[in-house]
Amino acid sequence: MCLAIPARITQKLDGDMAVVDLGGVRKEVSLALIDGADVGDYVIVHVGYALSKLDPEEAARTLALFAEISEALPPQ
Amino acid sequence: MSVAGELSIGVRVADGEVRAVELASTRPQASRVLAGRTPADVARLVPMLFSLCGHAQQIAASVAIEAAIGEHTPDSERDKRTRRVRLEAIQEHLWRLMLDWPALLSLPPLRDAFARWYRRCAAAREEAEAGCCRQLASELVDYCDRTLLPLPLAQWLELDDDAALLEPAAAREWGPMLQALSAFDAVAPAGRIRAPVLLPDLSAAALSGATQVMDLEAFCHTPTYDDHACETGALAHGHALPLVSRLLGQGRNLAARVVARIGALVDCVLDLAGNRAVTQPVIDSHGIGPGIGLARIRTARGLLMHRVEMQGDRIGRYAIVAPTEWNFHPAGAMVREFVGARFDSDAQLLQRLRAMVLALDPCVAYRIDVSHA
Repeated sequence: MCLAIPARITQKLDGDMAVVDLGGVRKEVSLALIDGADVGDYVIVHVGYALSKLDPEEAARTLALFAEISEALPPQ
Repeated sequence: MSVAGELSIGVRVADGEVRAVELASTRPQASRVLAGRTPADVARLVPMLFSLCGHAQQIAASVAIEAAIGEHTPDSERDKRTRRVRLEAIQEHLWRLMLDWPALLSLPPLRDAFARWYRRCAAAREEAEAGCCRQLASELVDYCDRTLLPLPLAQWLELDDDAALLEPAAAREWGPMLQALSAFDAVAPAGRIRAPVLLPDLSAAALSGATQVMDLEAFCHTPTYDDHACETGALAHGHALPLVSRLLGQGRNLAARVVARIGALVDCVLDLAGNRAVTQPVIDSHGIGPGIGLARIRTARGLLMHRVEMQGDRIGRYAIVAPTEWNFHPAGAMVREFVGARFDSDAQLLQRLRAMVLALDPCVAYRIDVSHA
Protein backbone atom coordinates (compact mmCIF):
# COMPACT_ATOMS: atom_id res chain seq x y z
CA MET A 1 0.00 0.00 0.00
CA CYS A 2 1.40 3.33 -1.10
CA LEU A 3 4.93 2.64 0.12
CA ALA A 4 7.22 5.66 0.50
CA ILE A 5 10.33 4.49 -1.35
CA PRO A 6 12.98 7.24 -1.64
CA ALA A 7 14.19 8.28 -5.09
CA ARG A 8 17.39 10.28 -5.71
CA ILE A 9 17.32 13.34 -7.97
CA THR A 10 19.97 12.81 -10.69
CA GLN A 11 19.25 15.73 -13.03
CA LYS A 12 17.21 18.93 -13.07
CA LEU A 13 15.34 19.71 -16.27
CA ASP A 14 13.51 22.78 -17.58
CA GLY A 15 10.72 24.24 -15.51
CA ASP A 16 10.08 22.33 -12.33
CA MET A 17 10.93 18.93 -13.82
CA ALA A 18 13.69 16.57 -12.72
CA VAL A 19 14.98 13.05 -13.35
CA VAL A 20 15.04 10.69 -10.36
CA ASP A 21 16.55 7.27 -9.82
CA LEU A 22 14.09 4.94 -8.12
CA GLY A 23 15.83 1.66 -7.39
CA GLY A 24 17.71 1.80 -10.70
CA VAL A 25 14.72 3.01 -12.73
CA ARG A 26 14.87 6.53 -14.20
CA LYS A 27 11.69 8.59 -13.96
CA GLU A 28 10.81 12.18 -14.83
CA VAL A 29 8.95 13.93 -12.05
CA SER A 30 7.70 17.41 -11.21
CA LEU A 31 9.18 19.24 -8.22
CA ALA A 32 6.27 21.72 -8.17
CA LEU A 33 4.94 20.49 -4.81
CA ILE A 34 8.16 20.88 -2.79
CA ASP A 35 10.77 23.56 -2.10
CA GLY A 36 14.53 23.58 -2.51
CA ALA A 37 15.12 20.12 -3.99
CA ASP A 38 18.41 19.72 -5.84
CA VAL A 39 20.53 17.07 -7.56
CA GLY A 40 21.57 14.43 -5.01
CA ASP A 41 18.56 15.00 -2.74
CA TYR A 42 16.17 12.19 -1.96
CA VAL A 43 12.44 12.64 -2.52
CA ILE A 44 9.30 10.54 -2.15
CA VAL A 45 7.60 10.23 -5.53
CA HIS A 46 4.03 9.48 -6.53
CA VAL A 47 2.67 9.41 -10.10
CA GLY A 48 4.87 12.08 -11.59
CA TYR A 49 5.29 14.33 -8.56
CA ALA A 50 7.84 14.54 -5.75
CA LEU A 51 5.72 14.74 -2.59
CA SER A 52 8.38 15.40 0.03
CA LYS A 53 12.11 15.74 0.51
CA LEU A 54 14.20 13.54 2.82
CA ASP A 55 17.59 14.22 4.33
CA PRO A 56 20.26 11.61 3.37
CA GLU A 57 20.20 9.89 6.79
CA GLU A 58 16.41 9.59 6.71
CA ALA A 59 16.56 8.23 3.16
CA ALA A 60 19.20 5.67 4.16
CA ARG A 61 17.08 4.51 7.13
CA THR A 62 13.99 4.26 4.91
CA LEU A 63 15.84 2.33 2.20
CA ALA A 64 17.16 -0.08 4.87
CA LEU A 65 13.60 -0.58 6.12
CA PHE A 66 12.38 -1.43 2.62
CA ALA A 67 15.33 -3.78 2.11
CA GLU A 68 14.16 -5.54 5.27
CA ILE A 69 10.60 -5.76 3.92
CA SER A 70 11.82 -6.97 0.54
CA GLU A 71 14.02 -9.72 1.98
CA ALA A 72 11.95 -10.87 4.90
CA LEU A 73 8.35 -10.67 3.88
CA PRO A 74 6.35 -12.64 1.37
CA PRO A 75 3.95 -10.66 -0.86
CA GLN A 76 0.30 -10.33 0.17
CA MET B 1 9.20 -6.11 -9.60
CA SER B 2 9.51 -3.17 -7.22
CA VAL B 3 9.24 -3.72 -3.46
CA ALA B 4 6.06 -1.61 -3.59
CA GLY B 5 4.38 -4.32 -5.66
CA GLU B 6 1.43 -3.71 -7.91
CA LEU B 7 -2.18 -4.53 -8.54
CA SER B 8 -2.86 -6.76 -11.51
CA ILE B 9 -6.26 -6.68 -13.19
CA GLY B 10 -6.86 -9.47 -15.70
CA VAL B 11 -9.98 -9.18 -17.84
CA ARG B 12 -11.23 -12.09 -19.96
CA VAL B 13 -13.54 -11.28 -22.87
CA ALA B 14 -15.52 -13.61 -25.13
CA ASP B 15 -17.91 -12.55 -27.92
CA GLY B 16 -17.68 -8.89 -26.84
CA GLU B 17 -18.75 -9.68 -23.27
CA VAL B 18 -16.57 -9.55 -20.16
CA ARG B 19 -16.62 -13.06 -18.72
CA ALA B 20 -14.19 -12.66 -15.82
CA VAL B 21 -12.18 -10.05 -13.93
CA GLU B 22 -9.29 -11.43 -11.88
CA LEU B 23 -7.51 -9.25 -9.37
CA ALA B 24 -4.16 -10.09 -7.82
CA SER B 25 -1.69 -8.12 -5.77
CA THR B 26 2.05 -8.43 -5.26
CA ARG B 27 2.13 -5.82 -2.51
CA PRO B 28 4.15 -6.81 0.57
CA GLN B 29 2.42 -6.76 3.92
CA ALA B 30 4.61 -3.98 5.26
CA SER B 31 2.85 -3.76 8.63
CA ARG B 32 4.58 -6.99 9.68
CA VAL B 33 7.85 -5.11 10.17
CA LEU B 34 6.15 -3.32 13.06
CA ALA B 35 5.86 -6.48 15.19
CA GLY B 36 8.35 -6.54 18.07
CA ARG B 37 8.91 -2.77 17.98
CA THR B 38 8.10 -0.26 20.68
CA PRO B 39 5.23 2.24 20.28
CA ALA B 40 7.85 4.99 19.79
CA ASP B 41 9.43 2.97 16.94
CA VAL B 42 6.03 2.58 15.32
CA ALA B 43 5.38 6.33 15.49
CA ARG B 44 8.74 6.88 13.74
CA LEU B 45 8.47 4.06 11.18
CA VAL B 46 4.89 4.39 9.94
CA PRO B 47 5.38 7.76 8.21
CA MET B 48 8.60 6.38 6.67
CA LEU B 49 6.67 3.44 5.22
CA PHE B 50 3.70 5.15 3.63
CA SER B 51 3.84 7.95 1.07
CA LEU B 52 0.12 8.49 0.51
CA CYS B 53 -2.18 9.24 3.40
CA GLY B 54 1.04 9.24 5.43
CA HIS B 55 -0.47 11.50 8.09
CA ALA B 56 -3.63 9.38 8.32
CA GLN B 57 -1.42 6.29 8.65
CA GLN B 58 0.68 7.91 11.37
CA ILE B 59 -2.38 9.11 13.26
CA ALA B 60 -4.06 5.71 12.91
CA ALA B 61 -1.00 4.08 14.48
CA SER B 62 -0.98 6.51 17.43
CA VAL B 63 -4.74 6.18 17.98
CA ALA B 64 -4.70 2.36 17.81
CA ILE B 65 -1.84 2.15 20.32
CA GLU B 66 -3.55 4.64 22.65
CA ALA B 67 -6.72 2.53 22.49
CA ALA B 68 -4.69 -0.61 23.21
CA ILE B 69 -2.99 0.79 26.30
CA GLY B 70 -6.00 2.81 27.47
CA GLU B 71 -4.32 6.19 27.13
CA HIS B 72 -6.61 9.22 27.03
CA THR B 73 -6.17 11.69 24.18
CA PRO B 74 -6.86 15.36 25.00
CA ASP B 75 -9.64 16.98 22.93
CA SER B 76 -7.21 19.55 21.53
CA GLU B 77 -4.93 16.82 20.15
CA ARG B 78 -7.91 14.89 18.74
CA ASP B 79 -9.15 18.03 16.95
CA LYS B 80 -5.70 18.77 15.55
CA ARG B 81 -5.42 15.22 14.21
CA THR B 82 -8.82 15.58 12.56
CA ARG B 83 -7.72 18.77 10.83
CA ARG B 84 -4.55 17.03 9.57
CA VAL B 85 -6.56 14.15 8.14
CA ARG B 86 -8.98 16.61 6.52
CA LEU B 87 -6.15 18.61 4.90
CA GLU B 88 -4.55 15.44 3.56
CA ALA B 89 -7.91 14.30 2.17
CA ILE B 90 -8.38 17.67 0.43
CA GLN B 91 -4.98 17.24 -1.23
CA GLU B 92 -5.94 13.79 -2.50
CA HIS B 93 -9.37 14.89 -3.74
CA LEU B 94 -7.84 17.86 -5.58
CA TRP B 95 -5.23 15.55 -7.15
CA ARG B 96 -7.92 13.29 -8.60
CA LEU B 97 -10.23 16.15 -9.64
CA MET B 98 -7.70 18.68 -10.95
CA LEU B 99 -5.16 16.31 -12.57
CA ASP B 100 -6.32 12.71 -12.98
CA TRP B 101 -9.94 13.01 -14.13
CA PRO B 102 -9.19 15.79 -16.67
CA ALA B 103 -6.29 13.68 -18.05
CA LEU B 104 -8.51 10.61 -18.38
CA LEU B 105 -11.14 12.68 -20.21
CA SER B 106 -8.51 14.24 -22.55
CA LEU B 107 -8.83 17.67 -20.94
CA PRO B 108 -5.98 19.90 -19.77
CA PRO B 109 -5.08 19.29 -16.10
CA LEU B 110 -5.14 22.26 -13.71
CA ARG B 111 -1.48 21.84 -12.74
CA ASP B 112 -0.65 25.31 -11.44
CA ALA B 113 -3.78 25.67 -9.33
CA PHE B 114 -3.33 22.13 -7.99
CA ALA B 115 0.29 22.78 -6.98
CA ARG B 116 -0.72 26.04 -5.26
CA TRP B 117 -3.49 24.48 -3.15
CA TYR B 118 -1.51 21.29 -2.47
CA ARG B 119 1.35 23.33 -1.04
CA ARG B 120 -0.97 25.52 1.00
CA CYS B 121 -2.61 22.43 2.53
CA ALA B 122 0.82 20.96 3.28
CA ALA B 123 1.92 24.18 5.00
CA ALA B 124 -1.30 24.42 7.05
CA ARG B 125 -0.90 20.80 8.14
CA GLU B 126 2.45 21.47 9.86
CA GLU B 127 0.88 23.10 12.92
CA ALA B 128 -2.75 22.33 11.97
CA GLU B 129 -3.74 25.36 14.03
CA ALA B 130 -7.54 25.89 14.01
CA GLY B 131 -7.58 29.54 12.91
CA CYS B 132 -5.07 28.96 10.10
CA CYS B 133 -7.09 25.97 8.83
CA ARG B 134 -10.34 27.97 8.96
CA GLN B 135 -8.73 30.74 6.93
CA LEU B 136 -7.44 28.28 4.32
CA ALA B 137 -10.85 26.58 4.09
CA SER B 138 -12.58 29.92 3.65
CA GLU B 139 -10.21 30.84 0.79
CA LEU B 140 -10.79 27.43 -0.77
CA VAL B 141 -14.57 27.92 -0.60
CA ASP B 142 -14.11 31.25 -2.35
CA TYR B 143 -11.87 29.69 -5.02
CA CYS B 144 -14.34 26.85 -5.65
CA ASP B 145 -17.24 29.29 -5.94
CA ARG B 146 -15.46 31.72 -8.26
CA THR B 147 -13.36 29.36 -10.34
CA LEU B 148 -13.99 25.63 -10.06
CA LEU B 149 -17.57 24.60 -9.52
CA PRO B 150 -20.49 25.52 -11.75
CA LEU B 151 -22.53 26.46 -8.68
CA PRO B 152 -21.75 27.70 -5.17
CA LEU B 153 -20.09 25.12 -2.97
CA ALA B 154 -22.72 25.44 -0.25
CA GLN B 155 -25.42 24.34 -2.74
CA TRP B 156 -23.51 21.34 -3.99
CA LEU B 157 -24.61 18.94 -1.28
CA GLU B 158 -28.32 19.71 -1.92
CA LEU B 159 -28.16 19.61 -5.73
CA ASP B 160 -30.39 16.91 -7.23
CA ASP B 161 -30.36 17.66 -10.96
CA ASP B 162 -27.26 17.28 -13.12
CA ALA B 163 -28.68 19.63 -15.77
CA ALA B 164 -27.47 22.55 -13.64
CA LEU B 165 -23.92 21.28 -14.02
CA LEU B 166 -23.98 21.11 -17.77
CA GLU B 167 -25.25 24.56 -18.73
CA PRO B 168 -22.51 26.42 -20.63
CA ALA B 169 -23.39 29.63 -18.82
CA ALA B 170 -22.59 27.96 -15.54
CA ALA B 171 -19.24 26.67 -16.73
CA ARG B 172 -16.23 27.04 -14.49
CA GLU B 173 -12.89 25.20 -14.52
CA TRP B 174 -14.66 21.92 -13.73
CA GLY B 175 -17.49 22.59 -16.23
CA PRO B 176 -15.73 20.83 -19.15
CA MET B 177 -14.81 17.90 -16.91
CA LEU B 178 -18.39 17.43 -15.73
CA GLN B 179 -19.70 17.74 -19.30
CA ALA B 180 -17.14 15.25 -20.62
CA LEU B 181 -17.89 12.89 -17.77
CA SER B 182 -21.60 13.07 -18.46
CA ALA B 183 -21.02 12.28 -22.14
CA PHE B 184 -18.61 9.48 -21.24
CA ASP B 185 -21.05 7.89 -18.82
CA ALA B 186 -23.97 8.30 -21.23
CA VAL B 187 -22.42 5.59 -23.42
CA ALA B 188 -22.39 3.06 -20.60
CA PRO B 189 -21.66 -0.51 -21.64
CA ALA B 190 -24.57 -2.72 -22.60
CA GLY B 191 -25.60 -5.50 -20.28
CA ARG B 192 -26.94 -5.66 -16.77
CA ILE B 193 -26.06 -2.68 -14.56
CA ARG B 194 -25.42 -3.71 -10.99
CA ALA B 195 -25.81 -1.38 -8.05
CA PRO B 196 -22.61 -0.86 -6.05
CA VAL B 197 -22.31 -2.68 -2.72
CA LEU B 198 -21.15 -0.02 -0.32
CA LEU B 199 -19.36 -0.28 3.01
CA PRO B 200 -21.31 1.56 5.73
CA ASP B 201 -19.46 4.32 7.58
CA LEU B 202 -18.58 1.88 10.37
CA SER B 203 -17.55 3.00 13.82
CA ALA B 204 -14.29 1.55 15.15
CA ALA B 205 -16.30 -0.81 17.39
CA ALA B 206 -18.37 -2.06 14.44
CA LEU B 207 -15.24 -2.49 12.33
CA SER B 208 -13.69 -4.44 15.17
CA GLY B 209 -16.74 -6.73 15.10
CA ALA B 210 -16.26 -7.24 11.35
CA THR B 211 -12.65 -8.31 11.89
CA GLN B 212 -13.76 -11.03 14.30
CA VAL B 213 -15.94 -13.00 11.91
CA MET B 214 -12.93 -14.23 9.94
CA ASP B 215 -9.24 -14.92 10.43
CA LEU B 216 -7.44 -11.57 10.90
CA GLU B 217 -4.81 -12.37 8.29
CA ALA B 218 -7.51 -13.18 5.75
CA PHE B 219 -9.40 -10.00 6.69
CA CYS B 220 -6.28 -7.93 5.98
CA HIS B 221 -5.97 -9.43 2.47
CA THR B 222 -9.64 -9.65 1.48
CA PRO B 223 -11.89 -7.85 3.96
CA THR B 224 -15.65 -8.34 3.90
CA TYR B 225 -18.53 -6.87 5.83
CA ASP B 226 -21.68 -8.89 6.38
CA ASP B 227 -20.21 -11.46 3.94
CA HIS B 228 -19.95 -8.87 1.16
CA ALA B 229 -16.92 -7.43 -0.62
CA CYS B 230 -17.86 -3.78 -0.15
CA GLU B 231 -16.70 -0.54 -1.76
CA THR B 232 -15.37 2.20 0.48
CA GLY B 233 -14.54 5.81 -0.32
CA ALA B 234 -16.42 8.83 -1.61
CA LEU B 235 -19.40 6.92 -3.02
CA ALA B 236 -19.89 4.88 0.15
CA HIS B 237 -19.77 8.07 2.22
CA GLY B 238 -21.86 10.25 -0.12
CA HIS B 239 -24.31 7.83 -1.74
CA ALA B 240 -27.27 9.54 -0.07
CA LEU B 241 -26.49 12.98 -1.55
CA PRO B 242 -29.47 13.83 -3.79
CA LEU B 243 -27.53 14.04 -7.07
CA VAL B 244 -25.42 10.97 -6.30
CA SER B 245 -28.53 8.99 -5.44
CA ARG B 246 -30.22 10.13 -8.66
CA LEU B 247 -27.21 9.13 -10.80
CA LEU B 248 -27.06 5.71 -9.10
CA GLY B 249 -30.77 5.28 -9.84
CA GLN B 250 -30.01 5.91 -13.52
CA GLY B 251 -27.22 3.33 -13.48
CA ARG B 252 -24.61 6.07 -14.03
CA ASN B 253 -22.32 4.65 -11.39
CA LEU B 254 -19.15 6.26 -12.69
CA ALA B 255 -20.58 9.79 -12.73
CA ALA B 256 -22.03 9.08 -9.28
CA ARG B 257 -18.53 8.28 -7.99
CA VAL B 258 -17.04 11.52 -9.34
CA VAL B 259 -19.91 13.66 -8.07
CA ALA B 260 -19.57 11.90 -4.69
CA ARG B 261 -15.86 12.75 -4.70
CA ILE B 262 -16.64 16.41 -5.26
CA GLY B 263 -19.15 16.03 -2.40
CA ALA B 264 -16.42 14.55 -0.21
CA LEU B 265 -14.15 17.48 -1.04
CA VAL B 266 -16.93 19.93 -0.17
CA ASP B 267 -17.51 18.00 3.06
CA CYS B 268 -13.84 18.28 4.05
CA VAL B 269 -13.66 21.98 3.24
CA LEU B 270 -16.87 22.86 5.11
CA ASP B 271 -15.81 20.82 8.15
CA LEU B 272 -12.42 22.49 8.15
CA ALA B 273 -14.08 25.88 7.87
CA GLY B 274 -15.74 24.92 11.16
CA ASN B 275 -19.14 26.37 10.35
CA ARG B 276 -21.20 23.24 10.88
CA ALA B 277 -21.51 20.37 13.32
CA VAL B 278 -19.58 17.20 12.49
CA THR B 279 -21.99 14.27 12.67
CA GLN B 280 -19.59 11.36 12.32
CA PRO B 281 -16.04 11.51 13.62
CA VAL B 282 -13.30 11.31 11.01
CA ILE B 283 -11.13 9.44 13.53
CA ASP B 284 -12.56 6.78 15.81
CA SER B 285 -10.98 4.19 18.10
CA HIS B 286 -12.00 1.16 20.10
CA GLY B 287 -10.31 -0.70 22.95
CA ILE B 288 -11.02 -4.32 22.05
CA GLY B 289 -9.58 -5.81 25.22
CA PRO B 290 -6.51 -5.54 27.42
CA GLY B 291 -3.63 -4.50 25.15
CA ILE B 292 -5.69 -4.61 21.94
CA GLY B 293 -6.79 -1.46 20.13
CA LEU B 294 -8.26 -0.50 16.78
CA ALA B 295 -8.33 2.82 14.93
CA ARG B 296 -10.46 3.67 11.95
CA ILE B 297 -9.94 6.83 9.93
CA ARG B 298 -12.00 8.16 7.05
CA THR B 299 -9.40 9.07 4.39
CA ALA B 300 -9.92 10.32 0.84
CA ARG B 301 -9.83 6.74 -0.43
CA GLY B 302 -12.11 5.33 2.24
CA LEU B 303 -11.86 3.61 5.60
CA LEU B 304 -8.35 2.94 6.90
CA MET B 305 -7.97 0.49 9.78
CA HIS B 306 -5.02 -0.10 12.09
CA ARG B 307 -5.30 -2.83 14.72
CA VAL B 308 -2.60 -3.47 17.29
CA GLU B 309 -2.03 -6.17 19.88
CA MET B 310 0.51 -5.30 22.53
CA GLN B 311 2.85 -7.86 24.07
CA GLY B 312 4.06 -6.23 27.23
CA ASP B 313 5.45 -2.86 26.20
CA ARG B 314 6.10 -3.94 22.60
CA ILE B 315 3.94 -4.56 19.54
CA GLY B 316 2.83 -8.20 19.31
CA ARG B 317 0.75 -8.22 16.15
CA TYR B 318 0.00 -5.31 13.83
CA ALA B 319 -2.65 -5.30 11.12
CA ILE B 320 -3.50 -2.63 8.56
CA VAL B 321 -6.43 -2.68 6.15
CA ALA B 322 -6.24 0.15 3.61
CA PRO B 323 -9.14 1.21 1.35
CA THR B 324 -7.42 -0.52 -1.61
CA GLU B 325 -8.04 -3.90 0.06
CA TRP B 326 -11.79 -3.24 0.07
CA ASN B 327 -12.04 -1.60 -3.35
CA PHE B 328 -9.92 -4.15 -5.23
CA HIS B 329 -11.23 -7.25 -3.47
CA PRO B 330 -11.19 -10.24 -5.87
CA ALA B 331 -15.00 -10.37 -5.67
CA GLY B 332 -15.53 -6.61 -5.34
CA ALA B 333 -16.59 -3.61 -7.39
CA MET B 334 -14.45 -4.35 -10.48
CA VAL B 335 -16.07 -7.76 -10.80
CA ARG B 336 -19.61 -6.52 -10.11
CA GLU B 337 -19.44 -3.71 -12.65
CA PHE B 338 -17.65 -5.47 -15.49
CA VAL B 339 -18.58 -9.15 -15.57
CA GLY B 340 -21.50 -9.49 -17.98
CA ALA B 341 -21.00 -6.03 -19.54
CA ARG B 342 -20.62 -5.81 -23.33
CA PHE B 343 -18.25 -3.48 -25.17
CA ASP B 344 -17.91 -2.58 -28.84
CA SER B 345 -14.12 -2.65 -28.76
CA ASP B 346 -11.10 -3.29 -26.56
CA ALA B 347 -10.39 0.45 -26.66
CA GLN B 348 -13.82 1.21 -25.17
CA LEU B 349 -13.36 -1.51 -22.55
CA LEU B 350 -9.89 -0.26 -21.59
CA GLN B 351 -11.07 3.33 -21.27
CA ARG B 352 -13.91 2.20 -19.03
CA LEU B 353 -11.58 0.03 -16.95
CA ARG B 354 -9.15 2.90 -16.45
CA ALA B 355 -11.99 5.21 -15.42
CA MET B 356 -13.28 2.66 -12.93
CA VAL B 357 -9.81 2.12 -11.45
CA LEU B 358 -9.42 5.89 -11.09
CA ALA B 359 -12.83 6.12 -9.40
CA LEU B 360 -11.85 3.37 -6.95
CA ASP B 361 -8.46 5.06 -6.53
CA PRO B 362 -5.84 2.41 -5.66
CA CYS B 363 -2.84 3.59 -3.67
CA VAL B 364 -0.44 1.43 -5.72
CA ALA B 365 0.49 1.09 -9.37
CA TYR B 366 -1.76 -1.17 -11.43
CA ARG B 367 -1.62 -3.14 -14.66
CA ILE B 368 -4.56 -4.16 -16.87
CA ASP B 369 -4.40 -7.17 -19.19
CA VAL B 370 -7.30 -7.91 -21.52
CA SER B 371 -7.41 -11.38 -23.07
CA HIS B 372 -9.85 -13.00 -25.49
CA ALA B 373 -11.13 -16.54 -25.20
